[in-house]
Amino acid sequence: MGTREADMIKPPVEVAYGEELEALAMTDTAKKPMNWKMSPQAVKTFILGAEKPIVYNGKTYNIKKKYLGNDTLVERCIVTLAGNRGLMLVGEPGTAKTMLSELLSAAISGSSTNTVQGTAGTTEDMMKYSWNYALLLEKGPVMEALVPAPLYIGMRDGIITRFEEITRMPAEMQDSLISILSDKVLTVPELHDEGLVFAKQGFNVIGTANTRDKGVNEMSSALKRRFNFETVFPVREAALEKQIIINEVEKLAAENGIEMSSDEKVAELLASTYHELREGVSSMGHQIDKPGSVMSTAEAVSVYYQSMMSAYYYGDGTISMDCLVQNLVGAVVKENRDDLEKIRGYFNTVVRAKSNKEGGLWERYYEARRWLK
Amino acid sequence: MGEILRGETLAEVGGELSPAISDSDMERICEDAFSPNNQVIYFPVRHHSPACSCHLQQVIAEFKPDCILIEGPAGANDLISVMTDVETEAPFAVYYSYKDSEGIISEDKEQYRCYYPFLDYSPELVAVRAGTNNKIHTEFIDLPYAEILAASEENAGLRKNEEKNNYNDDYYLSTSAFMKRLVEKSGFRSFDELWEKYFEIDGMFMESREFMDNMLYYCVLSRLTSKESELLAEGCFAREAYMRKKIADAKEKFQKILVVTGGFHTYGLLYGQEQYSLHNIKKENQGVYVMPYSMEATDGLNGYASGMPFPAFYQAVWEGLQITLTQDNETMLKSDRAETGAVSSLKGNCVSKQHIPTESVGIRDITSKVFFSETLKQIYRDVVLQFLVSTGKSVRKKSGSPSTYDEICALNMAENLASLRGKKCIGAYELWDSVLSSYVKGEYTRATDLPMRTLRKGLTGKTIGKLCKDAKMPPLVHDFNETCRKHRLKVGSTVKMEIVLNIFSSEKHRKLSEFFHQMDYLSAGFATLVKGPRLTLRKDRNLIREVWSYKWSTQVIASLIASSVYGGTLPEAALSKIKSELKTNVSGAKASECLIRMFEMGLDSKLGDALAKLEIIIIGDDDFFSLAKTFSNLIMVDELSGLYRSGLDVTGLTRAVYRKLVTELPHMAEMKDEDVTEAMEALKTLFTILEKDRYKDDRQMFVEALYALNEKEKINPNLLGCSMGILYGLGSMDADLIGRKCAGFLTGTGEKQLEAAGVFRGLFFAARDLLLVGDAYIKIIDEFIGRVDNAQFMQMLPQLRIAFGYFTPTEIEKIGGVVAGMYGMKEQEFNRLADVTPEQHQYGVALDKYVVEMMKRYE
Repeated sequence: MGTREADMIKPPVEVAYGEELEALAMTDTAKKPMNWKMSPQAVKTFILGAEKPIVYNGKTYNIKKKYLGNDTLVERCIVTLAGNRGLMLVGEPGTAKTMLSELLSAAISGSSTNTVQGTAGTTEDMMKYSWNYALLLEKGPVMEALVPAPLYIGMRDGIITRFEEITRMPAEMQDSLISILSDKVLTVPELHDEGLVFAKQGFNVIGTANTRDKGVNEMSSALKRRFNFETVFPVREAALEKQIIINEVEKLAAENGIEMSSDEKVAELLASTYHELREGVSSMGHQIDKPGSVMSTAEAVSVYYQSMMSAYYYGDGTISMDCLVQNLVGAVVKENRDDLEKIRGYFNTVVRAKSNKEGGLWERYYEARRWLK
Repeated sequence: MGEILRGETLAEVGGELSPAISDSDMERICEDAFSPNNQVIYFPVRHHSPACSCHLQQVIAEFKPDCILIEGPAGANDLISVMTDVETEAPFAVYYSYKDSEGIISEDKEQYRCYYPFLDYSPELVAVRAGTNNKIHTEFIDLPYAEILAASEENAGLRKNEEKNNYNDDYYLSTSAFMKRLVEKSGFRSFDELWEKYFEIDGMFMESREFMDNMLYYCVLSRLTSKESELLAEGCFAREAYMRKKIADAKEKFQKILVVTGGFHTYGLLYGQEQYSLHNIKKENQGVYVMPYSMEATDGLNGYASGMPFPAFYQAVWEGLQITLTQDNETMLKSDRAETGAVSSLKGNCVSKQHIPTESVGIRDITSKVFFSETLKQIYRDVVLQFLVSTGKSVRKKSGSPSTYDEICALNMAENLASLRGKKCIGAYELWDSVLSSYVKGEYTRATDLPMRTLRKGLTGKTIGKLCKDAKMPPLVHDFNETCRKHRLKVGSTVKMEIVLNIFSSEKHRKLSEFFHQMDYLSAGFATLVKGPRLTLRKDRNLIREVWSYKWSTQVIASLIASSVYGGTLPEAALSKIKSELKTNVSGAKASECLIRMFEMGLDSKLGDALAKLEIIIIGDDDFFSLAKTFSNLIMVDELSGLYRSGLDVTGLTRAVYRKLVTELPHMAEMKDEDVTEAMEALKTLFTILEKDRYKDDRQMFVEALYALNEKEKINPNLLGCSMGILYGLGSMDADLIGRKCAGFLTGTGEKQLEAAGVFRGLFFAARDLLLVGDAYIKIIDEFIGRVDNAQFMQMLPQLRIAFGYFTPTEIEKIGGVVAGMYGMKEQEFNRLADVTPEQHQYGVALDKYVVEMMKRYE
């Protein structure tokens, strides 16, 4: 028996937004590509939000914007998925590639969990199918003994199959996708005539690949040709980054029963820190040494959430700057101790200047620099 | 009206930023602007908009005005015949210049210029062509350029300190906070994307009246949300006052007047109350010319705020529209003849890319005509396909992809994106997105963005306009033609010519050289110095001849027209350009380069107040390196003035720079390693100059400065060595003392010992003869090398290599001889290479080949 939603650490999109998806699908009047749960317009509305609420079954739904970033990228993704090619989302870690692929899958196919999690150990049977060996021994290679894997399921049911971290998979495993994406047919030789799985309308693939760890350049050009690539860039505006931190933290807090609202000023301060360290220049014009580690928005969310939990469980319910700086150090200084020097340099120039100029929170933030060790 | 608000109210869109205007107010404004019964119809346009142009054609055909008044500085009225000549091809620009010799604009008495670009699909050009073709009185009614400048505040409007000022105020439509919010709320990337959807595409599906309603609605919103103070500063109210006056004058003479202006001004033209009095500006200070222009310069994305982006895309759309409209009309004509047998009044109108006949466009029942929807969709689709294919082809040539299937996918993507975005046609932005999605493989980086760069270039286009023979040319072009004729240079053909000039022996050649240098300085693209002294680069100063290549082209004329703001003759233009360069924050070194250029151009006798300005810049410079360069440049000018027959006396200035330089010198001790070579070069230049007898009185000051530098506790070792070497060269430091100082480093501890190599480098750079006088220094170095361990030696090796790199081969041989003697070897023995056996040679060749092969593998 599956886990109840309330017990899940992170419920899948189709569960978390189940009612909203249903309302959108039921009120959708535009044309739907075959086997899609809703029209491309409705998918767009689900991800990018609607200005006006929708009413369904006597209930009003305010569709919030779930993906804060490049709206046109989302549009291109939706159109790609309605076409013949797979969608490959590439970008730095923490740029919400996975979140976007989950949102797309849930809206289009009603399921975001038909996923292959790519690792160096991913094998073909994890992607396509394997066997229930007890049944196989008893009955031989029959359909009953076949255990379908995400790619098989996607093709059979006409839904999206997600490949997380596709470039971490061995090249041979990646290449096994080539003919499937071209011919849209999967062969199970053991089942003879019964073993041809023709992809049903609605099937497509969303891959995500991280440009930091292993280059997408290593992907074979034959496979590249079967995908439309979308590069997801880090958020370029500090204000938007702040909003993302607040949204995500509130979602996490709600999922984990933490009854504490987010502090907009702390989010702004953290967004500003991450933004400036990533861009290499402060809002006041200081030139900053960029740390080598990833300064993603997802990391900022994590730093904030960690600090929030400390405040909730061990503190007085307000986020302390000491705790924030400690978590910041933990998040940034991972691979290279030089990064600590860079953070220290940032505090001694930018944070000090802001502390002198603005005082208040920035002053306390500057005082907490003693934890930079 | 109000489609762009997408069903929301103004307050819902803009909140506190929204203007207070009701729908009934808007209806009244529209009625005032273009009710069919009005004597004056105000047609609101955006510069460079095919949709505005198409509807304008319709309105002209329907309204049949007897007077067309167009927004544009009044000075261009005499050029209308050139603009509409059959030989003139767009893009071209009206170029305005004004020389403020009377200080009407500002006390600085500067020169000003601006461009007013026209494309085939610019509504203003469509109006001018329609007016001329149909013999309608046509006139530009804005303030003359000089008056606009006088009405503008410093650094506002056309007085903005920009590389290129454009007479174009489209930016008004998108800069207010309300408009920015509107764009943001609509989910578009930019105002231009919003414009394309609601006006270029949706607008073409509307009747002209509906289009004008929408256009005016948008323009009034942007007008009411703009800051009055900014409009005042930019001279907007003064311009509108003048245009109102012109319209009032026309009302006295004409029955039906069509006013074509930027939509932003319509509100001001209808209801403005301001007055404006003209200045008494001399005509000879104002210049107006038509010049060929390029698509690239009209592209709004090129930073000149010159209009809409992607001119080549919209040009293709415009051409498609015109062909369709013409065919449409021909069909109607046939049916006319069939129905009535009447001979059409449209006879004789030609249809060409440049000359769109107003009357040939569908005239009848225009108010009820809805534009050819399917054909329009097809036009946009064809244009998008054309760009997808041309981009694909061009990228494929360089990188092997995209495939034809990629192109199919891209078109599919573009169509579906348009549908998802609720666009009736595929626009430029869907084209952009489809190429990004379908052609770029892998992460989008500089390495993979070739398709986007290619598309961007294609969307801009490379067409350059052409002028008719009668186009008036500015005096600068006449001066150029006259000078070429005088020197019998072959112009008029685009063949590249070469000429050798004996600049020092022939007065005539020197004059020609000055002319070439002036053309080069004005970046006219006419002459290139192939060989000869290049004084600004301090190269080939020993050459006595100059070899120039020159080539005439229409671009040369275009550049000269652009430079004509600087003056009527080439020397005047070059001098003015130099003066304007000196006005910016240039360094002393840069200013001294200007002096050299003037020297080369033979303008040094005409310097006047520019010399004083130049002196102020040079004396005000505190940068050591810049001062050193300045000093060296001034010395060069001083030395060459006789040869170049110049009467320029820079002795006083040179001495002032010298004094400043030696004062700065002791403060240079703690120099960064990356600056040290430049500093040593500067010191050596000073040394070389002061060695000369005529400067002997100035030496003492330099010696004192070097001693002061030497005594600094923290000093860069290279600089220390160099200063000691120079002091030795000037006879102010004893070789023994230098030897002891060097030994001090060599026998020092840790880092000091490592600094020894730097000291030697500086020393040999300035005075390598030290090593060649006796064997004392060689012994010191030998002893030192014997003492340091291998690791230390390797650390110092790069500096030592540089130090010994200053010696000539003969000197190295001599040093080698001394070293050989120290170790009991003969010089010949020391220098002789061991014999190489044939086997060794063979092995060496094979090894070499193997290494090359291996390296190729890893390329």
